[in-house]
Amino acid sequence: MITENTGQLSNPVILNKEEKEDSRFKEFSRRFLKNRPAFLALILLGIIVISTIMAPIIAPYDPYEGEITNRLQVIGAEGHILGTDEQGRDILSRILYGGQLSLLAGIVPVLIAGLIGGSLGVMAGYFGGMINTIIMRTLDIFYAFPAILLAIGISAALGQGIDNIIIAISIVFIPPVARIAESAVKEVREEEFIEAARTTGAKNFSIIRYHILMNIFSRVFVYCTTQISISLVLASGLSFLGLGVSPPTAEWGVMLNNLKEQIFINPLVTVIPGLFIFISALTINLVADGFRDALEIKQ
Amino acid sequence: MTSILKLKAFILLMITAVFLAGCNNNSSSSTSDSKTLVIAMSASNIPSTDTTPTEGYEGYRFVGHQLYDGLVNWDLSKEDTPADVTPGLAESWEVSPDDPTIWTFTLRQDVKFHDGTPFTADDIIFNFDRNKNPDSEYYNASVAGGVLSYLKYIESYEKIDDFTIQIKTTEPYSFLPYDLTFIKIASPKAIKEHGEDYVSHPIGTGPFKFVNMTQGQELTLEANPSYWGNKPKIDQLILRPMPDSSARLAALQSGQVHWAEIPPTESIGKLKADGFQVLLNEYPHVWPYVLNTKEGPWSDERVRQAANFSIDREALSNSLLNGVAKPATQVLYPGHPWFNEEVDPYTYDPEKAKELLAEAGYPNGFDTTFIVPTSGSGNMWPLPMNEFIQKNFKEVGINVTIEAIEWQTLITEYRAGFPDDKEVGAYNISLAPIAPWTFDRYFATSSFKPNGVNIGEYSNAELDEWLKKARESFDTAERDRYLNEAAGIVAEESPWIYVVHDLNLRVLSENVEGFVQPQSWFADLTTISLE
Repeated sequence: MITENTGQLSNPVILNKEEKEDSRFKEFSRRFLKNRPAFLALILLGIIVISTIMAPIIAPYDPYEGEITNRLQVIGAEGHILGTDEQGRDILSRILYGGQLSLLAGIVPVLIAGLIGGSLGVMAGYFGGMINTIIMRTLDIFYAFPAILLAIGISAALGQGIDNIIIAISIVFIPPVARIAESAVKEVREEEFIEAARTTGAKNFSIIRYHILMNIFSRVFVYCTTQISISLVLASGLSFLGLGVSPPTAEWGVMLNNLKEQIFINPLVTVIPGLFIFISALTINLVADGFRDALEIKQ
Repeated sequence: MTSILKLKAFILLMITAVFLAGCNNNSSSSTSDSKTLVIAMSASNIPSTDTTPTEGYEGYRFVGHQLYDGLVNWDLSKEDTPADVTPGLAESWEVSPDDPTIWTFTLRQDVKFHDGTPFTADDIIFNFDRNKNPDSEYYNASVAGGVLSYLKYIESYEKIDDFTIQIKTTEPYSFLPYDLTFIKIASPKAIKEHGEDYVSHPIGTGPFKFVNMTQGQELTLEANPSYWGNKPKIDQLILRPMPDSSARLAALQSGQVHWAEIPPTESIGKLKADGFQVLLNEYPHVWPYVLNTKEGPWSDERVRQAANFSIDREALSNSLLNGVAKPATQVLYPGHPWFNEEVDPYTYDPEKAKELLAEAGYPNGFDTTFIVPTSGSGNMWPLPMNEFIQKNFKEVGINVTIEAIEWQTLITEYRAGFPDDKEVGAYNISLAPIAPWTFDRYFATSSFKPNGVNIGEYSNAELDEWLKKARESFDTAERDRYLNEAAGIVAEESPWIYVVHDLNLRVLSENVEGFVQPQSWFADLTTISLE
């Protein structure tokens, strides 16, 4: 990919820009569609995401209102397809609303880490030397702690709340993203077209903007997509531990924690939030794998 | 196509994990081959083995009262009346007829510590110094901190002879014996020898001796064969902290423990059908919100009453908790001598609550924060209960943010009072109205921190007057009359929101025999035998 890419970029006159983008996208789509598990996962993921976004329209009940006398209904109970929770609230409605926060906590930290980690990595990789040492060695400190411990530590220090979980996971993800970006930039930096750009008098900023970013984007992007599922699981985990939303807010990790009391009494209802975390994480992973294969990136 | 391979591997892994988990459950069969009683506590950690246990009264229940005696102990042999005090290391005591502040305690002569050293009056003085006298060499501030409020009426103490001591109180104070049940007596020799490391070598005089402890996992005690009172019938006692109620249930069902404190209420039917002993009994327990009456909206009596009128206690006790609790409208329950019959009980009346809120100047309600525990001694099932009540409050306009923290952290924060740097409306902490000092400890003006746990700083001159009379009364019937008046005032003005009284749900396996479920927070483990 990289050689192919650089080839294209070093001969920018051969194809006009739009045509080139077009054919690249076509090639990418063709490859992705051929990868059936990834394609199916994408459809499933799409359904989950769209349903949670449309929760206010499609949820059958208010996620915060329940009849206490109607608590702990089993799956398939009348009027409650997925049963009711310990407060008598409809689980399907809570899953739909809860998914908004859970998926948000999967995606936002990766976006933040992608932006911050990506920029740090590009700077470190492009300028090298002292700047590289300072940035990369500072980020190495974070590697000294296992990711989950670091996340627990940070969110415990920041206090309860989904916003703090997002901050904690973002911090955990910055160093690995920076590392990927840095090594990608280092490879690209030595290419002839960069040298050429420099000799024509291009500024550092525009070299990074037009030549470096274009070439490392797909690698960083694919890496980030694989991190979304980890972020989702991590966020649900922290939330399960009681560091996330405070009641009565619906969120998959918290729901799992609340329902775990019933694991020996009504096990099927208990696993529903866990099942949604599992399916979401799995589909995200498969889609990310599909992207990687379609972009022909070897990691 | 690597993704398919990955998926297959993942599924295989999951199946293996489930299978292994199943195996584990089946193979770890019962531990009951020797006479070892294993108990699943609701605490999230092992209570400190020092003379002041951590983890609230559960710490006293399973560790403090088992390793140690006080001058006075609790009589836990009756199921039908609230537990009262009984002689402990002191075989008798009397109050001087001329000066009601002078108490003389006659000590038992046949008592030995677990390390074999004989017990005398010097040991009492040593332990009192350790808790009360900052100038003494072995004074321990952290141990003393836990019993500060039980020592506040003691002015001085002295040894008369080897088996007699005298205590002088700061004023006539008839509740003294109840306070002394919490002042545990440890071996001075062990404290001197081990210093900081004493908690790994605790030595008391109680029915059980320390064997070893794995922090966070289990504490092993063994029977003290030379105990002066009823000797334990079991050989060993193992205590396991399990803050998660479903984990306690699983441990009980799989035979890993013989005794589970408060399992999930939904399991009761099945447990009964499977032959487990499901025990319930009334006891002096209340599950309240201790309000910040000093400042903020809760300083208005009408707001506090409104909150009391907005809770659907029946649905909470019967539907959410399946009948293992009873609605609470006062500190104590009907039938108890300190329950005031004349006060109208708080009912579920959201309309009245709204009226009271409007009268108090909050027609649109207000926002507040409650700090609640995640588990622990007497707290029952705090999270679902708080979530239920949060919804009740929301209906009348009180928007509660629930901040759930670990139990021991909550105890520490609670003892320090309401924080100055953030708005906290209430602590949800279950409390023990087990002794005549109840109203004095929680509501008297003289019990503002650091002299007591009236942390909401509620104050009422009339109440203080009744409490003084009760403290000075050495006649039980008369004392109860004064306390009943006091109970009426705190029910009416409600410095707390009264929610439910626990019924002490506890499940024992079939082979545990001879246990008496007393009307108490504590438990006598010496009568138990294992079949």
